[in-house]
Amino acid sequence: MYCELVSEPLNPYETLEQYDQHLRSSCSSIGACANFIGNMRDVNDSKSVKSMLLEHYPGMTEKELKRVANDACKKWDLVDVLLLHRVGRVYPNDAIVVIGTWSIHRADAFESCRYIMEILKSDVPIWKKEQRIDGEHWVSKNTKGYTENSF
Amino acid sequence: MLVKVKFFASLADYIGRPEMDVDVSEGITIQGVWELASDNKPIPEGSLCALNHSHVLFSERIKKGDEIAFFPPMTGG
Repeated sequence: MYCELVSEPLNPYETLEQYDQHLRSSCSSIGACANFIGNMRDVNDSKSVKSMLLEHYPGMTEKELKRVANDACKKWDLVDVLLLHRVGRVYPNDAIVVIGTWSIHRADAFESCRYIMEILKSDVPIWKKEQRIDGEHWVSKNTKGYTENSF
Repeated sequence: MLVKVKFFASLADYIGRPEMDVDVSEGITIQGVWELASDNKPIPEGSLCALNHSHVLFSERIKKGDEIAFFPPMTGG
């Protein structure tokens, strides 16, 4: 399991591929890998957003990231988890979060990947401050994750 | 006893500073710490708190050397 807060731009596909190759170099029973990449949008609530500052709580944020990944490992039969989250200034299209889950069968990888993302949004202390034309604004709530049509 | 109190995101703006040391009585709750640290400002709806880097309720009691943090709902991811 690898969790990290990252203050420099992420390169999600390269990171996921390298991690995948590293895992498969010592394990050939992995039958499934699920990935989630969250990116910054240039619009929120119909307003143009130029950039965002991702604030965090040093010490607690890292601890909570690991807790969420650990909880997923307890709930599902996983071979490994990769969880990266950006902090600092980000710009439209920048990757904000990268999740990889590896398992023997697909259900564990799919479901744990979604779980990590949803719990991360509610439990891990990170806050977005948008820079718009009309000034800076804290994002007050996240968009709803699971919906009636989720399953 | 002194405890360290931190505020994050919109709550730091609301209080006007990101952190402070607060002199409190042994056994005070986090709710009580908020009242002292904020000069009795109302707690914005949905606010959360942490004790030594773990999520807790406002009713949790604290001890010397603890670090208390107040913050709005998370918006990461």
